[in-house]
Amino acid sequence: MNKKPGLSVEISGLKFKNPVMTASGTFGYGVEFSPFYDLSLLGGICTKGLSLEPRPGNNPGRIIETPAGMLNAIGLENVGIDSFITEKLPQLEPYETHVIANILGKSIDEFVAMTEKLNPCDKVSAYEINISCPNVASGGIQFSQDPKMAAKVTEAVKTASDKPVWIKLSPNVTDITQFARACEDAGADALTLVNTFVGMSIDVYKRRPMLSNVIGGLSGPAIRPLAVRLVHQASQAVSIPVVGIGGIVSARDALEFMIAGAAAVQVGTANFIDPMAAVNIINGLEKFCVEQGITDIKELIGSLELPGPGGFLYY
Amino acid sequence: MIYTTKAKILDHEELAPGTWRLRLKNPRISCEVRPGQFVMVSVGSGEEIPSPILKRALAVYQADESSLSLIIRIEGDGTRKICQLAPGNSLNLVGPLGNGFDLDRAAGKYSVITAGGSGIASVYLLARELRQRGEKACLVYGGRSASDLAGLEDFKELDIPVFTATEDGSSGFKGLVTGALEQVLAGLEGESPSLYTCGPNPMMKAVTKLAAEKSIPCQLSVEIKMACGFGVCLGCAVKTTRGNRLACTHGPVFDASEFIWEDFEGRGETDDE
Repeated sequence: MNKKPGLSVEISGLKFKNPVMTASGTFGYGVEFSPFYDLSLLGGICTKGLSLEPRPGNNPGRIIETPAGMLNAIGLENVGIDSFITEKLPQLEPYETHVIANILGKSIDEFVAMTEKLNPCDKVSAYEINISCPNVASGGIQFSQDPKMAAKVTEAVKTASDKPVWIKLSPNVTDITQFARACEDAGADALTLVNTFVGMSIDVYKRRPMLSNVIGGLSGPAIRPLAVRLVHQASQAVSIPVVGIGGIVSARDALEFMIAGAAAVQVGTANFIDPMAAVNIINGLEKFCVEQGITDIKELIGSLELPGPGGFLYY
Repeated sequence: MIYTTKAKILDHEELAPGTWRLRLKNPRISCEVRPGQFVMVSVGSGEEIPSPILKRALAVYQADESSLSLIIRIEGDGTRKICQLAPGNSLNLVGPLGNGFDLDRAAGKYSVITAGGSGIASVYLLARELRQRGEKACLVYGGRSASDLAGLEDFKELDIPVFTATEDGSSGFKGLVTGALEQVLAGLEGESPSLYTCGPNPMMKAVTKLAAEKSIPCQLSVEIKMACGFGVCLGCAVKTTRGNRLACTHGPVFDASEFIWEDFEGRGETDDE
């Protein structure tokens, strides 16, 4: 009889019972999944992106399925930080899992204001600073496109925060390592990558964009190899933990990210495909460890064996 | 309760060109589903990545103690794979989902159910429930031609008046279903009608307009692309006079007087890639 493998990981001083979290924007405020399974099974829950004021989101025509993925332009619809604190967060109180508050602001002041509002909330374990949503004109995307701006918002939130600060990076940049290093240098405790890739889909009969917002964020298995490469590259560039996300639908996919360098993973679009996805992935990780004789999943983090120097095109 | 479950295909049948009926074994969902609710459905099993990846939102047509049936028009890869999977195999289901029709508002009224094409799938349980409650009801059902009118016999068995409309005149009223609806409403002297509708957007828009002109209460069931079906992807937002609402959890049934058609038509309809 095999001993149960250790699945716990540590990120930014927090212990996670397993390395599987659910991704912001794919899991509502958490309780929406309570009909399907006990949320305490999860390593953590990243909330829907929260803004200072409630936002109605974009017009209809918000999603379109694409090969092995989907484009979305929800437009950051959310209840706002105050309603989150008074109405949504208390519903997560019974569950023994980390709540990571994903916050997004149009300005540094907004990020700081939200951080200060959430600081007294014991149920929130950490902040995930969303500087990378592609779907609103003034959604803070400027912070994702300039390493100096990314550093500024990191520093400001870090100063205001009494919880660990994770920065969720955009993949829509030329060199991810610049952003990863800038955020690390500014005090980030961890990085989450990647957010969605900007994409577009066209109705050829009507000659109109499929999405009312014209462009949207691509997610799902289609982006997995792109995300694995970015996670690998970023994790090589920094010493803070990287949380990997991008098209994970199975334990095998999650393992790929961890071996590439991720200390934990987030499951996103898979929650739509199968509400049980995150739990199935946790069970699959345990099964893999048992089968492979791995006693502690932490052994896998960044365990990628690279070919020797020279002769291969890297990055 | 929302179940995430497998359901074995008991049989499938092409009722009209490109429109199929599937009967699925699943007592949990079939016993709990209410009129106007839907299920999310996909083909595939285990660790394999489904293709297409997202489930399809499909109305529950009929339900008994152990099985439910769906009427599905093939619009792309997703619906084709679902319809053509051989009986004996299983589909992945999440459901029952959505608010369903508000039947309490039908009390004492004459319910006129207006359906177009595969919109018929959303209204059978409604008609059955209205009959069981002893309410007066009729069906006005339109399609391009007689062969498109899937499920007609099932409604006749409910023993409610059925009026058909076809664009080619091969069954009933020749013209659009709204033409037949106007005639039916004109014949309801002394009754207090209540409208329910499901079908193509132009049809429901016309029914909404008619209802507003005649000050008749009207509930409509929308079709829109959904990724999850239970309120987390926020992909199926529609505009109403009360702000954005999700078709999956606030709907798919909306009060027609609150529904804003602007920005809805032509976007987010359920045709596959």
